[in-house]
Amino acid sequence: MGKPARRIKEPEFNYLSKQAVLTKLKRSTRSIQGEGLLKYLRKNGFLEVPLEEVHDRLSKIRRSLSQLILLERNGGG
Amino acid sequence: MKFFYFDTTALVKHYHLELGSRAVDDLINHPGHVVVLGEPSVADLYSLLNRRVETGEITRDDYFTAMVTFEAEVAQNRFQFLEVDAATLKNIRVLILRHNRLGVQQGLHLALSMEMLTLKPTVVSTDPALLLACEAEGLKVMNPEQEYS
Repeated sequence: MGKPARRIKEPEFNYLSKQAVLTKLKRSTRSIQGEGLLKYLRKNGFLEVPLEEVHDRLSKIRRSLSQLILLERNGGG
Repeated sequence: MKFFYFDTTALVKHYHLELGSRAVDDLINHPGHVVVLGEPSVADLYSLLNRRVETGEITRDDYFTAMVTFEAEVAQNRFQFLEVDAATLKNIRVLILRHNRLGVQQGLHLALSMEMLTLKPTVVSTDPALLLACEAEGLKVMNPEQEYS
């Protein structure tokens, strides 16, 4: 007869205090902005456009991008 | 201030018009809202649209124009971000142990949104598995595809 299944105590999630989250948000945002590709893209001749133009350009994608992401997450992409 | 955590399935609706885009834009444009993205969503967006170039659905010019517009919005503080650090990586593993059906991406978004729990965020996504796990963890959720429908 095998050993009975051991009861395993779940490891705990490390929650952050309100102040710690706000500090992390500020630090992360500054870091992502500091490492952005905006300058690189502008330098290569690409300029930001109104969202309507982005919508128009991406309207050639007929499928829902949300659904494509879900397919990939579920291993079907 | 009300905090909203967007996963990539919600973020893409800001740039590509599809079911739920209006709900997503209403959240982003509301002056009292803070929209938070997980750091990996940036690369996720780049990769998703780059593959549309590969499949011939959009041109490289369309792709770069969308990306420079996204980068400009990041620079203009349209979004706030949460980075993945060692504590987040541990939390992802804890959550995957707790929720059998969670994949890595879902675990990552759940861990980052749970780090914000004290700010009472609403998680915005169209991913049923992620939304279910968020609810089980006590987070408020919103599926933009089910708003205004």
